[in-house]
Amino acid sequence: MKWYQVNEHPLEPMALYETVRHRNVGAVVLFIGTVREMTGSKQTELLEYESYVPMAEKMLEQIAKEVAERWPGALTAIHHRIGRLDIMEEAVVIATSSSHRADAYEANRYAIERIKEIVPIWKREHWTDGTKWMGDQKEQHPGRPEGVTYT
Amino acid sequence: MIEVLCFAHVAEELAVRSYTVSAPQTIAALRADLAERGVSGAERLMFAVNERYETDEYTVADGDTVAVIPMVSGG
Repeated sequence: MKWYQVNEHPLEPMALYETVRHRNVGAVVLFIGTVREMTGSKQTELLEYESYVPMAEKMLEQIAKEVAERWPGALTAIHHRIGRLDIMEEAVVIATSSSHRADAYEANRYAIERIKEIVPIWKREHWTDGTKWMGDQKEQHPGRPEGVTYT
Repeated sequence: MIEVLCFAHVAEELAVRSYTVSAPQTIAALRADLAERGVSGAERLMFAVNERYETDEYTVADGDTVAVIPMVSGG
């Protein structure tokens, strides 16, 4: 099982759970992002995700490194699906584990927020009345995203 | 030559997934070229060179691969 993966296959949340477990883990948080039908009065028919896969997988690994710096000992595995997804299908799974629950919860929240900043994946909404490539969900500025360092 | 990869709305607006330009080029020059070709929101695009984010002053060399990265929207 790869720890950081972006591809078109349906996601397997419990496989990520198994990936981040070990004998000294006391808490695993599993976040599953799913395709929602209604956003206000807008009705989504399906979502289409596209990615620059090799870089996206590197950025997922970068997020896991950032997590480990902030919450020592915390482990992170992330799989993101791309292609066309129907309502209720899983788009992303993030598993974080730690010896105690607080770190696992905080690390998991951090990871999803960072995905929306630095991972080259794009979502196209297919609504009942049109389509649009989404972006700028966090009102970023151009250039290198904040906090990205290379070793 | 520099290979430039396009994604999402950029690929659609240019109607190509990739193109090549002569080297060297700054990212600022690549951004200006995209704006001139009618890519929307060119001032807000991010750029990666060989899968690393770089900023406008960076000079892209012969053989490098540039990815034009619109604001991301994963998750």
